[in-house]
Amino acid sequence: MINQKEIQDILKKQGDVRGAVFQTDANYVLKKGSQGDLLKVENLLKEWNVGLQFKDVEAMGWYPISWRTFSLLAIKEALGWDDIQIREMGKNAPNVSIIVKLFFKLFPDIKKFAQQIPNYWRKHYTVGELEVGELDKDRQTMVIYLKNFSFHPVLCRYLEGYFEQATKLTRPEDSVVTAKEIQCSFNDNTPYEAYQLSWTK
Amino acid sequence: METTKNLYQRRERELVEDIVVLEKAIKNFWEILPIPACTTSPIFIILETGKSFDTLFNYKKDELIGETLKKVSFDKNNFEALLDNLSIKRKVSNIEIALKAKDGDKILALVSAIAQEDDDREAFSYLFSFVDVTLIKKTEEELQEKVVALEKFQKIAIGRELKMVELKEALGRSHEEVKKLIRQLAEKN
Repeated sequence: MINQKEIQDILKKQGDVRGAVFQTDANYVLKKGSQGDLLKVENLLKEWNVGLQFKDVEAMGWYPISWRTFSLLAIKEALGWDDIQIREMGKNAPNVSIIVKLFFKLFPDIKKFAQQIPNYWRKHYTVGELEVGELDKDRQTMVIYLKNFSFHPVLCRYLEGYFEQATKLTRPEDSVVTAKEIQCSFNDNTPYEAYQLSWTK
Repeated sequence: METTKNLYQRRERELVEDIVVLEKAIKNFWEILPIPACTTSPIFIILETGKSFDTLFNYKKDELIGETLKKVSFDKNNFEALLDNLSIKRKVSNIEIALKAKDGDKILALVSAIAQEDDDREAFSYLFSFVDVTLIKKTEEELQEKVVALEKFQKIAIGRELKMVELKEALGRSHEEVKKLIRQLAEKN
């Protein structure tokens, strides 16, 4: 359970996030649960003095970055979800995100797709940088680094699922894509989060 | 006098407002568009479907997102040929093809599609439309069957008519023969 000090620390974070991320959160909660579940999440957010109302959110509008963390934590806490469910929620997000549908250029050429990755991040967040480190076309792996975005471990699980599905959208239907966080600022004391993506086709 | 920073902030605000308006318009467009339509990635992974698309193929909202478009093909080979053609030409119009709804029902549709390209002319997405012609085709087939039946009937009717003329002539000839015979018989007596 999150305490007051943690809430205050998260609130201090600077930057903005697009409303689309909250719409994808709400979409998944409604897909797996009910309107009542969404209300439980909003009520918990209210207790934390976070004025996020999912139905009022505009996909392309900018909202405080702290809300990104609060939304995931409130879902986790109010609905009793575990990290696996948060990861699944991340996986669902690219499928329903209007930003992905409108702005992502999902090139099947993995090198060209990799070139787009930093722009994808900018479409969502005004803070943090997503960079492609190693891309090995032969071994079909890529490592991406998320810098200056060390907010909360709940985001690590969510983004793991998100990156997995976003990559899956560029691969043939029978390709198996996996994303794994290999370095974490919270566990490994690195100044970044590193995710390894791999695919079979 | 507006400072550069203020000008930049005002423009950014205006831009966000414009995007929000566009976002709502796009959302409404997909909701109300009467023609079944969808967008896909360059390898034909479905990214967005309109309400009419979901209704035509009997899927729930967002159910097909992330799936291959080949999922709605009835004859995989024909459908792959269409997609190959589209990859080369970047645009196809009104190609008649058999498709498949979730429950397996066959749908005949006219498929049109166009690629969205980047500056290097590389396709980064496709927009598809599917005009359902199943009912039109069924009516056309039924009409064709009726035309064939009508032609058959006409053939029979005309044949009978000709036969009747023939019989009438034969009857006339027989009648003359009888009259002739009666005359000959009367002369003999």
